[in-house]
Amino acid sequence: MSDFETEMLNMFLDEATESLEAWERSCLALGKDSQSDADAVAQLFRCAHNMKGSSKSVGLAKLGHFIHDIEEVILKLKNLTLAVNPDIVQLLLDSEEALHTWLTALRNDVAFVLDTSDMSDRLSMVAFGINKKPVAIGDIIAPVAQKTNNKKQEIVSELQAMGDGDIIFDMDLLANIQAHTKAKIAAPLVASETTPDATAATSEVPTTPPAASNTPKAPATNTETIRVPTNRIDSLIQLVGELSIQTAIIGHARQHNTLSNTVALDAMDLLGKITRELQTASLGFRMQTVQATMQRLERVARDAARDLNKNIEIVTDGNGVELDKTVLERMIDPLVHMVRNSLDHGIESSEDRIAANKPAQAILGLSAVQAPDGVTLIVSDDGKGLDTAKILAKAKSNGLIAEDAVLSEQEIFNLIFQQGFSTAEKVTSISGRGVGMEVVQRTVAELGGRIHIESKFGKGSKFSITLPSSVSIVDALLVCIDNNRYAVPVTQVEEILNQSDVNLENALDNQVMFRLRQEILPLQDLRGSMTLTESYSSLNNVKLLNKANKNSTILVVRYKTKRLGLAVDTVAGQQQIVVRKLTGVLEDIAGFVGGTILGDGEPGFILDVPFWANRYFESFKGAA
Amino acid sequence: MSDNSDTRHDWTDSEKDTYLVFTLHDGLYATPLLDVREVVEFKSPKALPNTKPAFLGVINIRGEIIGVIDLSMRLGGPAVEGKRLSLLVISSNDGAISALVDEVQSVVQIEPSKIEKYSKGQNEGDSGYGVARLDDRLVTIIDLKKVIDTSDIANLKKLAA
Repeated sequence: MSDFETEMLNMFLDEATESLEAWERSCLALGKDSQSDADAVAQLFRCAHNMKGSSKSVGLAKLGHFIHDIEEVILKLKNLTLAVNPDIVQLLLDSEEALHTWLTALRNDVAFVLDTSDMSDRLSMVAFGINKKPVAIGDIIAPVAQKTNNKKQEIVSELQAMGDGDIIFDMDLLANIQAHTKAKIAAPLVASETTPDATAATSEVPTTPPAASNTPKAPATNTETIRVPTNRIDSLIQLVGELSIQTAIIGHARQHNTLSNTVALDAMDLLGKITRELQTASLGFRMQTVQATMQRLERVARDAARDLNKNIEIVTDGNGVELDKTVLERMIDPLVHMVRNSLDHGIESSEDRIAANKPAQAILGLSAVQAPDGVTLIVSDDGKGLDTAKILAKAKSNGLIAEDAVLSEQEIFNLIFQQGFSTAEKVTSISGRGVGMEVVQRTVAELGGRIHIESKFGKGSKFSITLPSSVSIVDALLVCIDNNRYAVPVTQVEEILNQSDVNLENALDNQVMFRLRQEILPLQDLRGSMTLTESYSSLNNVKLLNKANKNSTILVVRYKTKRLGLAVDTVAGQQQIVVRKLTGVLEDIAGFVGGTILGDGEPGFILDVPFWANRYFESFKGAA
Repeated sequence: MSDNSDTRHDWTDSEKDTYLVFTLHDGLYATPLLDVREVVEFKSPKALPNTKPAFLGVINIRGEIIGVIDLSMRLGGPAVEGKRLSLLVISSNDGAISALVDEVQSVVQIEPSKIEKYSKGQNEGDSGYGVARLDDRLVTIIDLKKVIDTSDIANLKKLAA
C-alpha cells in the first residue's frame, strides 16, 4: 500500500469515526418528537450516505455494502414508510457499534472484514419485513447454474418458487454465474417494491475483494491524532509571528549594545506575554469538548436502564465544556461505572417510585460545568439516595471502621470509595462487586481531582467530580525539605500551619499527633523519610519528632476519609509548574508523581501526596 | 525521542561499527556511538531521596529531566572522579538517561569480528559486554542501554497499582 493510499485510508477512518459520533448522537435523539426525529433521521442518512460513498472510494467495498444495508433502513425511516420504535433505535445503535468495531480493526489491519451476517439479517428484516432467513446462496446457485443455458422464464419461475417477492438479476451475471460460484445474489428475494423493468439495475455485482487483502497486514496507523479547528492553528501561527518580531528586536538591540533601551525591554516583556499565550494556545490543542463522553454515558445509561427494566429520562447539560483529552479518556471508565451504579443502586423501579410518591420516570442528570479550578462533572439522580445508616452498618461489619466510630455525613459518604465496600445485597451484572468506586476515587486522585457527594436519603444523590482542565500545568506550592525543593499541587493541600502554632504530642508507637481545632491529626515528618544526607536505613523508622526538632511547616492534606499533617522545612512559594512525566528508570522512584523545571532552571519533583499519606497509615495500621 | 531503534537500519555497516571510547578510572571502555544521543559536560545533578548511591540525581537538559547514573558505581566500582567528567545521554524507548563517565577519549572503528562477547554468568546469553583489542590495550565494550535499562535505582518502590 502506498503512502498516499495509507494517508487516504487514515483520513477516511478519522472522518468515519467522527461521523459515527454524530450517528450515535442522532440515534440517542430519536424517539422524542416527530420534528426532532425527522432532523435526526436526516442527519443519520447523511452520515450513512457519506460514509458509504467514501468507504467505496478508499477500496473498502465490503464496508460500503454493510453501510448500504443500514442505509436502506434509514431511508425507510426518512420516507416514513417505517416508524421510529425502540427496536429500530437499538438496531441502529448496534449497527453503529459494529461499524465502530470494524473501523477500529481497520486501523491495525487494512484487510479486515467484520462478519456482519447477523446484523445484515436483522437489517433486512426491518427494511423489507422478511420473516424468514434468505435462502442459502448455494440453494439458489445450484439450480440456477444448471439452467443457465435454458430459457430465462424457466429460471425466473424456479426462483420465484423459492421465496416471496420479485426477482431482479443481472443478465450478465447470470451468464457468468458458474465463474462466480462465490457470488452473492443479494436482491432476488427481497426487492418487493422495485419496478418490474429494473432487471439489471439494482442487483449486486459480486465484489472482488479489495486489492489490499492480498498485501500483508499493514498497520494503518499507530499514532494518536487530534482534530484541531483551523482557527486555532491560525492563532498559533499569528503568535509565532509576533514572537519572531520581538526576537528580532532583541537580536538587533544585542548587536548594537542597546539591550537596556526601552524598545528592547518592552520586547522582552512582550516575549513573556506571547510565550504565555503560546502556552495557552498550544495546550488548547489537547482540549476536547465533553460531548462525546456525555454521549457515551447516555448510551450506557440507556442500555443499563433497559437491562434493569428501569424507566429513566436522561438530562444532559454542558456539552460544550472543554477538558484535556487525556483527562477525558481516563475518566470514561470511572464515569461509566458511576452511571451504572446510579441506575442499579440509586434509581428505584417504577413501582417503588410510585409507592414513594415520586414520578414513575426517574431523572438521571449528566452535566459538565466550568469550575474555578477546572471542570466539574456531575452525575445526579433522583433515586433513593445514600442510606447513611446502612453504609455505616456495612462498614462496621466489614471492619472498615471501628464499632464506636463517629463520622460526619461526608465521611460516611466517602466510605463507599473504600476497597471491598458494596451495599448492594446481591451482585448484579451491572455493579455491586465493590471494586468500582475505589477505582473511581483512585483515578480522580491521580488526575489531581476530587469528588464531592451530596445525597438525601429518599430524594437522590449527586456526585460532583472536579478535575483540573489540563493535566500538564498545575498550581503548586514549592516546599523545601533538606535543602531540596519539591512541588505539591495546591489542590491537594487543605491548610498550611506553622509548627509553632500547634502543640505536638508524642503518642504511642512513635506517632506524633497535633490538635487542629476540634480534630486530632497525625503528623508525618517528611524530612525523616526524604533526607538526602542520612543513609536510607532511617527510612523505615518514622522518627520520633521531639520538641527540640527545628521548626517546620505543616501541610494538612486529605487522604481518602482521613486527614493528616505532613511536616516540611518551609514553604518557599507558589508557582505554576509544567508537569513532565517521569520516564524510564525515574518512573520507579517512589514518592514522586512527576517532574518539572523550576524558575531557576533546576529540575524539581512533584510530591506524591497520596503515596506518603498511604505509607503513613499503612505503617500504623496495626498500632491503631 | 526521535532516534528510536526503528531508524537504525538506515545506518551503514561502518557507522554501526563505530564506538565511543571513554574511561572509568584506569579502565578503557567503549559503547556503540549510535546509542549515544549526545555527550554533555558534567553539571551537578540534583539529588533525590530514597535512591541508590549510583543514582546521582537528575539534570535539566533543554527542559528535559534526565537521570544521572555513575557508570563506575553501577558497574560495582568506586565513584568517578576525573577532571573532565562527561555525561553520555542515551535514549531508550521509554525516555532518556545519562551515564557519568570519567573522560571521553575518542571515536574508533571496531570490526565485529574483533569483539569477543562474554557473559557474566553461565546461562546469561548476551550480557551486553564484550572485549576488543585496541592498539595495545584491551577495551571493554558495553551496551549502555542494557546496563542502564536493568538498573534498579530506587530504594523505595512505588506500590503496585
